[in-house]
Amino acid sequence: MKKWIRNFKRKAAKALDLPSDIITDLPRLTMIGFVQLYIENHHGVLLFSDSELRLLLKKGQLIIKGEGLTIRMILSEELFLEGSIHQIQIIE
Amino acid sequence: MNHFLNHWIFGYVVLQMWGKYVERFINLAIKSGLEVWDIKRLENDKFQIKLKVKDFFRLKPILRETGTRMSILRKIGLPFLVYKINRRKGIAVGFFLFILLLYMLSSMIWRIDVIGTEKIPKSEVLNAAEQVGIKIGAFKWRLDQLEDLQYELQKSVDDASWIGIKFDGVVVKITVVEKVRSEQPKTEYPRHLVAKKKAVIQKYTAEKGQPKIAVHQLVNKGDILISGIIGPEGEPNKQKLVSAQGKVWGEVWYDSTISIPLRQEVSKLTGKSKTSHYILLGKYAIKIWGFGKKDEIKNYKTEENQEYLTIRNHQWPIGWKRKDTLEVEKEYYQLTEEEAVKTALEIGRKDLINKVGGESKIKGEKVLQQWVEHGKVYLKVHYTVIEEISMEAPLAGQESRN
Repeated sequence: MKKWIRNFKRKAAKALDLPSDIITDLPRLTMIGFVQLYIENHHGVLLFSDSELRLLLKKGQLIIKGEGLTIRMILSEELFLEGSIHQIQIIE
Repeated sequence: MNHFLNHWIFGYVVLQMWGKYVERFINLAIKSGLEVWDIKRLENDKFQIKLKVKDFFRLKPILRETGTRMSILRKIGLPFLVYKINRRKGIAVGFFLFILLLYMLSSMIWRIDVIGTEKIPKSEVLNAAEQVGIKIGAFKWRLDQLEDLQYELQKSVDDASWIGIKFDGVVVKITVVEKVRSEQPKTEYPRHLVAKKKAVIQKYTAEKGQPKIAVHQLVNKGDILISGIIGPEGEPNKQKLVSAQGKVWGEVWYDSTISIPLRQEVSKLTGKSKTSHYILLGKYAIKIWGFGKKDEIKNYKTEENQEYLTIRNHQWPIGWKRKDTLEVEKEYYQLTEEEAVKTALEIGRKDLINKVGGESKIKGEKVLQQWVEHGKVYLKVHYTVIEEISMEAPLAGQESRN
């Protein structure tokens, strides 16, 4: 049943030509240079330090490595990160 | 920026927190709708976060749940500022009191100057002023209208013909104009009135004393006109000494010689002129217009017109001067002998009136002699003048005799 709904959503998004992150819960990352990162659809902070931010996604994790990282803003599904970003890693 | 202003107005706190599950704390906090931002890891492995004041009190259950501890680093924003000011109410009240006191003190009378008194003692004016309410320490706003005050004050100071009151900040200036009393009559001492000069009596009035004269009588200088001794003559015991008073008008004669040149000199403007302008700075005048060409005008007279800038009765040391140089020509004309005589007689009359005094009257004039010599007309004139001829002569000697 769940699988069927997900399938339907994906197909609907395709048919209506909508960005898939709106319908599905996929993360959307917007990066400005190497200093600002805007992440939507995250599912909470797992770890945060000066050099690493680990976010939980619906499926898997997002690991961001860098220097002097600061969470400028955080809401339940959005996050705005600042600092010099060196690496973005996705773990399925 | 807008965000920052919003945060500042509602106030926020900078917290530092530590514990094993700070990340969990963050997740929980945002889930329950707390507004946090600027999350940073500090050197000592503690977290620094910023939080809205209104969310601060919802923090406790989340902290307890995650075993996180925290302390406040800084409090920023308007609510804290207001709180601070509220706590220092004393200063605010003090400032307000200071303004109030300053206002009150400046609306009080601190000095009373009395100007213009000579005969009236100042204390009298000050006492009268106190009666109407003007005294040191009185509030200006409690006093009556200025006109009423002046009226009241004037009524209570008898010898003042006018009193003006002027408030000059905390100083009251009372200007007094004293009544000019007619001079006290001179102490009366026994005296005669005698003749000042040789004259023929025209008329007389004796207010006190015994007249010794008749109209048309010729008197010489020093003759007694009105005697200060009254009572039947020859009976010294019945006689009384008085201060003779009265007026005696006599006809007096004057001879005078007047000369007047036949050639008269008059200055006339030719119409040629030159104007220069100056800027005035204090005492100094700086010429800014009308240079040169002065040599063309040889005989001249100048007219100056200067004005200083005045704003609301205050004169500033800046002004403008206009200087006109007007060419003057001398003109001569010849008087006929007849004209010269006429002018001379006029001059003669004026001179005479100046000499004998305004109360006198010229009754007649007669040209005795008239001749021309060295371009001048000479006139010898005989004047008949009616004038007051009485003079006081004290009776001191006779007093001791009696």
